[in-house]
Amino acid sequence: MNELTPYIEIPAYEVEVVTNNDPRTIVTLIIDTSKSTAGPPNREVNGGMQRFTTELHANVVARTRIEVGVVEFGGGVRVHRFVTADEFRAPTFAADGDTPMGAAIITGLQETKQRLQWHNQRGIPCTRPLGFLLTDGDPTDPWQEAADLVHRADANKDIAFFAIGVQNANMRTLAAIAPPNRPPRKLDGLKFTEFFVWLSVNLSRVSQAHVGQQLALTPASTWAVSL
Amino acid sequence: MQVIGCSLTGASHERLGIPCQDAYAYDTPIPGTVVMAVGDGAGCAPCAEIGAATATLAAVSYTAGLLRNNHCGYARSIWARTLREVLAHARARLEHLAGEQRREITDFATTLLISIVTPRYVCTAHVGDGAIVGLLRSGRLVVYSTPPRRRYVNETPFLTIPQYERYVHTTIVRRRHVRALAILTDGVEMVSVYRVGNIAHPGFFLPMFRLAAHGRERIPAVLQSPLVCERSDDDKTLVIATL
Repeated sequence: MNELTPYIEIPAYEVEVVTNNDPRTIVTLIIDTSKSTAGPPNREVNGGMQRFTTELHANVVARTRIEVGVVEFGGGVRVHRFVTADEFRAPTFAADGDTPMGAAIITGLQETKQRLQWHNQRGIPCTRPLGFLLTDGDPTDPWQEAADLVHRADANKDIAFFAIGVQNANMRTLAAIAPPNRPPRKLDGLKFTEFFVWLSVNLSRVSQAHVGQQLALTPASTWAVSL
Repeated sequence: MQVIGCSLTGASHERLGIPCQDAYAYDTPIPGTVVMAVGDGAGCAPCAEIGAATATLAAVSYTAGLLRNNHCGYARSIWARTLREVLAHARARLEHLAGEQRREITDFATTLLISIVTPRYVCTAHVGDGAIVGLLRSGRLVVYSTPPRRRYVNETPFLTIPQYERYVHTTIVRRRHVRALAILTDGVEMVSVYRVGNIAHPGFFLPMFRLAAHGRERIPAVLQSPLVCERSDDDKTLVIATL
């Protein structure tokens, strides 16, 4: 008789594990769906989102650790709430309306913050959230407040914010919005699919990173115009 | 008294072709005592595995030396101070190593968790994540470690940061209450300690403590099983002492 037996009343060596401890990575996509994106850009961004969904679903680890939320802006701001990658279904964007980029950025930051708080309150560990803004135009609403919030949030490590310009995007405005240490990048043509594949590869790396490890994203050479 | 330890390379490390960056060391310097340490080298540090191995070995050999020199009778207050000395000694070893190799100490970044069992006390200290779990004579499980104060999970404090002392957590309890002790890195913590409330999962620890007492050869097999590896792809280190 083992001397520990009196203290451990279990019939066999059946080991159980904790199943809900996976760290989460929150990803917020802020996507321009204004009228100017009609035609090929709209088709490409929808195709890219479909591919993004497929790639995320194919990764067993990322599927439960990545949470994706989408804020689309075009004639208003629409929020697709955060879901884990396995539940994520790419929305189909219709190109319409003006470009309320400032309001969309503020909404994206608020949604990200709320999601992070939700996890913190439940003790679920998170990596630093990632935010991506994709636009082909110029804001049609005031954007200075949004830019201030982005700079503050990025400096406070509330989010790592990336701004990406497409085609005729006003890169000067984007440069004013993007965090000073992370200037905007320009999408090469309409390589949305390449961008979303790159994003899913990086999210997979982040989700599988050794806990405690700070991970840099891989170079954007597949989809961005060279700096 | 029995001690068993094992360190296994995580699937994520195998995939990326990087070695196991966890390390452990233990010693039973005189009858009735045991010193155990585990370390988890930082994934971003180029010499992480050397840092973890050096820190654990330094902590165990320093403490074993104290116990061999008849310091078993230390009062609780002296052990509280000694725990911090042990961490400082391990850090000094890393500093020395970094100097020898003309590197920064952060190149050897590692967490460090130690447990010292003396005839009177069970003393624990740690910097960074991982866990130290005791099985009391009453059958209750107690987590002696406290998750580090941090915002994001990938921002663990390491022994190598200048302000590491801010993140040191220590406990000292009467040995007579403790029946067995486990010390583990975050790869095992992920599947065994509920993050919410910092509570040890009896379904994990009770069988593992029992395996440590007999059937110890099955412990690595459990840690390599799909049940564990599907939920934790990090390196896994577990040392268990049955007192």
